[in-house]
Amino acid sequence: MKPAMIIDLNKCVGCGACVAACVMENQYKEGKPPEPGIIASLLSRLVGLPIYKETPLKEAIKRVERGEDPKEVLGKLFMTRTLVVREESGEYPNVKVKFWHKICHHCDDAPCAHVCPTGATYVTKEGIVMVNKSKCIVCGACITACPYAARSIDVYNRAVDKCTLCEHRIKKGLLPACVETCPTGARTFGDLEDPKFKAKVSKACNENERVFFIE
Amino acid sequence: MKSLKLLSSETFNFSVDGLEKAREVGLKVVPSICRMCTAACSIMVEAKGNEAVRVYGNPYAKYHNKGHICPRGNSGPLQINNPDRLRKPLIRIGGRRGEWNFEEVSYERAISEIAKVIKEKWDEGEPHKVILVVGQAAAAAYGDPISMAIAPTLKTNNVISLPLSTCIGSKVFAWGFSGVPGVHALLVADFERTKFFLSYGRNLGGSVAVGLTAKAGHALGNYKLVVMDPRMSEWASKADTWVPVRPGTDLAVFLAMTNVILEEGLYDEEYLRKYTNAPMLVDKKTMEPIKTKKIKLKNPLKEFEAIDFLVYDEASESFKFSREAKLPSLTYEGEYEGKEVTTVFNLLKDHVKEYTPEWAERISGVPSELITKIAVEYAISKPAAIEPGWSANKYYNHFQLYRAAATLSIITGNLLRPGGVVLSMGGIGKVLQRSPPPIAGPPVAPKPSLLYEYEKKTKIKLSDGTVTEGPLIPWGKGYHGLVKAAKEEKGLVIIVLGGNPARTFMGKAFHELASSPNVEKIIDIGLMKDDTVLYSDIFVPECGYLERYNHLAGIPFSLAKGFMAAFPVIERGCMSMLQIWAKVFEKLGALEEYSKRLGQVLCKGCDIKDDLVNGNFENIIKKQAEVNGVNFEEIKRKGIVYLTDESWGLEMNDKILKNGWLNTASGKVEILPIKMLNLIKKLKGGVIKPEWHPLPTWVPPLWYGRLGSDEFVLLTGKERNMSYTWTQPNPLLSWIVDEEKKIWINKRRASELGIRDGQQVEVCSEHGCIRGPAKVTEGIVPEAVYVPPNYGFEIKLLFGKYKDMPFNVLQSPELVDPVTGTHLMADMIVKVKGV
Repeated sequence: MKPAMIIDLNKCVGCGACVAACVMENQYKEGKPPEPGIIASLLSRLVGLPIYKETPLKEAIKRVERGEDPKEVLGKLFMTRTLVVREESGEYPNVKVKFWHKICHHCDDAPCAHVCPTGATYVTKEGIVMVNKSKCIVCGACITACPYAARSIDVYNRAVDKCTLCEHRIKKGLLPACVETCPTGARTFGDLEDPKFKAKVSKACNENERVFFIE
Repeated sequence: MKSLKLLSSETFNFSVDGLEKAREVGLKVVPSICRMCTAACSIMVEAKGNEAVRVYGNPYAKYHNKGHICPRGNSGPLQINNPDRLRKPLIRIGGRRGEWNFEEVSYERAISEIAKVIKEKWDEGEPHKVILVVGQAAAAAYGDPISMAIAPTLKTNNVISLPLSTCIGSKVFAWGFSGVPGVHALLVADFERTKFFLSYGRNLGGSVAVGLTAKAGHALGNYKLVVMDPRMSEWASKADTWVPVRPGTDLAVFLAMTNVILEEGLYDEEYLRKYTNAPMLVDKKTMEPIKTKKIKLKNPLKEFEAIDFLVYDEASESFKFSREAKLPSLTYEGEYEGKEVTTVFNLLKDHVKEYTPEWAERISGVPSELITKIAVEYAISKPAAIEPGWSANKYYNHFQLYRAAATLSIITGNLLRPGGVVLSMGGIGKVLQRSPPPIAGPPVAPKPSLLYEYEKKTKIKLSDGTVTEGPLIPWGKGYHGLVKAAKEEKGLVIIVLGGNPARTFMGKAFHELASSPNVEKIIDIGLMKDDTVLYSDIFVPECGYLERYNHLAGIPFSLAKGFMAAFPVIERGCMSMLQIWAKVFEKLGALEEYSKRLGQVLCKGCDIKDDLVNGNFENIIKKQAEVNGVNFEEIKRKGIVYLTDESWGLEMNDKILKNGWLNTASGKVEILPIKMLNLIKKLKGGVIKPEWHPLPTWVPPLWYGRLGSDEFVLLTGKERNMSYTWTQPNPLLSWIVDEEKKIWINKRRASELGIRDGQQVEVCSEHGCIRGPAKVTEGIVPEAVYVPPNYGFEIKLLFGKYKDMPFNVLQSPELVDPVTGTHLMADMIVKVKGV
């Protein structure tokens, strides 16, 4: 079993449904964040390290009401494992627009896993690049090593966060949240061991990864 | 990971299994209808305890949103839990409107106050002074209940529908005159079967209505896509050909295309002869049908009277009525009883002769060769669809634009044909029921109301320099009439239902009304804290869509016949719109009347009185299900139930076309609308102006010929994260799924003005100014500046954004479409400068 995602940029209308679904699935739905550990609590008391106790929405309400900048607060609290960014080229009227998707490509030979000093970043036997958050020391090496800018910080767990291909969903036979919601079917998901699915991947412009782009 | 192998990336019923499995293990998943925009996608909502945590596209909605939803749909729980939701009714305890000076009260108290206000109007014998202003959200969810139950029980016929008055009026009438209802959900492009789609005036990528975007998007690659848009929108980026056109001049391109198709003989001759009034013999000078007779027709729902018209039958070489002729001539010219006669087809061909591609190029900036190429491709690609229209009315000539679009669809034989423009389930029903105007066609006689009388007084300057009083069809739905009424009539009561007119396009007019001493009370029944609450006297919160039932309703945009319903996901102790009115009418002693009317609207006259008062909406859905032959348990589990597949819709379209059951005078597809000729006679003394010429005619947009070298034409269109003001303070939509450079300006023009990408700019029309961050781009015509329809806000909104970018200050309530009186969104000249 080799799970993989195809993103057909010819079909993407840049609506951002994937972004919203990912945030709602992987953060909002989670509800209450984990209790901060002893070390975090100590650091918080000693050096004033911020502790986030409430759900992202409640935490954001509290902070914005206190006068903090909503953009900064929400950007920090709601992690965007995937984003869609418009890229324009050419001169009027010969203009081309492409929607670039920020997302972990789940590289077969993942540089982020190579540089991780604690083994927090690992690759599952199915080829999904994951982070064991309890092992992560937020050294930032993986963030620098990632060629796709696909990693961010999870302030709740004091760890690096990234796309998991919705492993928790695909294990149950469900599609990743972004694939399921995509209104035009630009994101599809399947098994590379399935010849039919594999045939689709042959049109992709990248190799040795698990998120394939068709342009 | 084993079960993953069961999935196929090509099947879209994957989640049906997932959904049912989730239920088996005890997850609470409740069917609902998304109300984050007006497109009413079918959704499944997951709840944890009394919290809605996730919204999914309903996998059972295979002919609707196909199991998908957009970013707005996904972020629904953040609207329900928005800190700016108001949970308690408010009553003003002092200060003037515009000051936050309210007392929180119980539902009971607020409802008593509303009943008192209405009773006073009734006692004074002036119930018509109660004016309903219906917002987008309420119109989408409760359109028929408001117009057919709430308003008549209030004894008022003064209902301003904001979608009709600011968005869709011109297209509703324009398509309506050819016999099909032009409302969004009722008339659709058949993306799944088309070979060619001509898109204009719409961004199917940004203004996502998943019920349509899913169909159009999944089929991308199966049809050739031409997008005519002044800017490289999300949807334009998917096009095989992007046609940048100057704002409001797409009409010129359509007219030239019509000319090319007729001159080159690329029209669908058989379709025109058999199913349209193209062969109708008319007086060459007056365009009046030369002879008609009354006939009786019968469709599956109704027996009705229509007329038949005289044609020249080439088979028998004699004059015959169209329904008796074997081969009606398209090109006959001659005499009939001493009068010079010709066909509608000949008239049209002559009429559009002057509209050459070269002429259209000078106006639109679209190269003439490209216009010819698109015309030919559109005509020879069978089937081909054209956008029926979405968020018009933007420019002064949009009535003619949609007439031209309808004509293009007709002459190529694509109206009511698979892969062309077709009636959805709702459209089929409205046409077969011969529903009253404006839904299924334009009014044949004016329906006087207070607003109607004042709308007639609006002075409109026409393109020939003359001034006319009132639009061709004042229909009492716009607010230009209300603004005038408030200057002369005392004791008006305005009731806002599900909208924020203080901040949407009504904006300026609403502020004027709020400061008028003649407006006695403003009552707002809504959802969120917004500027309309600030300018009201009484506010009553309704339930959010995840907190309430939605009665059984037809499926929008769907060729398959079926029904949708919504069930509450969470319980928050609120009241729904229909229940609030039940309580008001109970106090007024009019509950019986209201429930009878509502019962008629919802379930063909079933008794729902007790259910309404007790808020037992599940029982109402049960009764509706029974009447409509739907299994209640099935709808409760699936949220959507299909009684047929899409072949039903295609077959019904075919029947309506072939039997001549359209909602026109003749029942046939009318290129020259007979009802329109009658209206012009009745309301404008028979004087034909370009604005309301019954054949598609060039009318310049207001800006045309007046643009200075330092000026721009205003352009607007929806963005991916914005539906209405209620989506504005949504933290996910406003701050995460947001493209932050908002005001689009062409790179060359920006450089001339010294404007940098991302810089704050000020955009000013003669009516007002807004400010926002610039997006310097090659993807917009040099003549236009694009401003998204953000709304701004006066009150404090925790997650509100772009406070200084309220689009409505650039507009004027006095600028209206000369045919329907629909307000113009964007036909303004603006200047831009860096700040």
